[in-house]
Amino acid sequence: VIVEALLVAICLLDGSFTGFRDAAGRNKLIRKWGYFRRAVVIGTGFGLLATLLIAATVALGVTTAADPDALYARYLEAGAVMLRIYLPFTLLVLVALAFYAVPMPQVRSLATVTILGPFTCLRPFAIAGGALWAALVVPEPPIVVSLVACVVVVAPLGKWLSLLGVNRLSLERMIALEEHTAKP
Amino acid sequence: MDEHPRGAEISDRIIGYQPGTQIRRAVSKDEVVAYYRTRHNRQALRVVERLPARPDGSLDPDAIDALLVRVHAEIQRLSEEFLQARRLHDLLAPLVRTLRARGVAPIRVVDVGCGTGFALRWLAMHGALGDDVELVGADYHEALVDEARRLAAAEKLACRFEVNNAFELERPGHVFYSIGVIHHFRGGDLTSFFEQQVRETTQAFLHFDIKQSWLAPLGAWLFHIARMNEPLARHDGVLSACRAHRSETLLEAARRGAPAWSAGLWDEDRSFLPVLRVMHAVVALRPELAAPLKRALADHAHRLEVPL
Repeated sequence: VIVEALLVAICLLDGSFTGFRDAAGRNKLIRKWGYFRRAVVIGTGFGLLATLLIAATVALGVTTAADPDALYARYLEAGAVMLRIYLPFTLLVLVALAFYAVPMPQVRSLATVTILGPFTCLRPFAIAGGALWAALVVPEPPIVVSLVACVVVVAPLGKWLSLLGVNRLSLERMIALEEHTAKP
Repeated sequence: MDEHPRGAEISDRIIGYQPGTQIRRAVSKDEVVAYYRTRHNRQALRVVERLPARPDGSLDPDAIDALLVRVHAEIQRLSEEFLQARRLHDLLAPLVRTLRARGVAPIRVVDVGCGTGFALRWLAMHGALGDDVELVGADYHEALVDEARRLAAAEKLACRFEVNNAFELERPGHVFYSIGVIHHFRGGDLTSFFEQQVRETTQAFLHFDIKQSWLAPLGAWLFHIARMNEPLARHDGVLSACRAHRSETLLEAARRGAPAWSAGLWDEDRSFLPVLRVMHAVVALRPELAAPLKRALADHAHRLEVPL
């Protein structure tokens, strides 16, 4: 349960961060907490959708396998391999975010320059790397299909959000989102 | 003119004004393409070749305006991430307090080349400088100024924006500042830029820009890849970091442009990795303001290196 829970949590967290990143740079207002909150919720929703799609491939693989329990155990093995990359990656991002929350420009800059910026660039490689490593360790075809689905669905999540224009709002709508948002 | 081998920023080449005026002139797409072709700048070529042109071969001004407004949104995003408005406030607020104590009122703070006016609107939103401070943004680019006005009106902010030369405003500024503007001025133009600000009413100027360091081009590349979607923004952002002036160049130009003033540098921290302070500022002020400003800066005084 721990492997599944961690993978789902990471996917949802990735979705929420992706939602934020897609929204950033689209809203030129000074106050935009409401806008970002909406973007994070939408991103998390997309993360959930991605999780369900990947879970569907796992369910299909397991239900059609000759020995479902054995294949599921192998899935968990693959998941544990993926976590060896995804977990430290996520923890480092969370630590950097904790530093970013410190109200000292120097500390925030350090978090941004050393972790948050570079890790945004590394994200697709980390996703693909985790999946590739898992595929090398557990090369069963149904598992490889799920791993490919994981890369294809999760890595370009930001592109999907951008293509769908979910965070491209009119100025009036952006203002309306702030009207009921308390000033932080 | 110390031009970079890859040429100037695309945003500098695709906009043109009739000499000595703020009247837009048509810019030939072929000329911009030829400019980057001769400099073997393929990245810029790819961007420019995709820009829409009118039947006469000039770049479509409406499309260019819309593109530059989008680019400025992305620049604002980086400024937000690097807390640029707050860093400006760290220096500007004590300066305003110093001027206020010397009886300057109302104090006019002018953002030179304000674009869509992020820093000025941030100052207005946070009431950061006080009610006796007039916040004015000036830029030649009408579309950017219109957008700044629209945004300020939407948030009911007490600041105004003018399509004008910042140094020829009807009511002249007491303090001029800019962010990411000065690397566009090279050689003698940089000195002239500072020279124009030394006026009867002016008390000080502070111009922020990317700090040149061995990490700046790499950092700029990484952040523009990670954070920006517009290819033009990615190209220009990295080139800006490559074209950033050396601190000594800025200081020399400021001293030549304002010879009777105290000129110095802000956030010129050389003690640790250059990643901590990615922006610095060249500062010049009337000599009698230097000591009181240092006192007003209190805990931040060490960030200002200015002769007393």
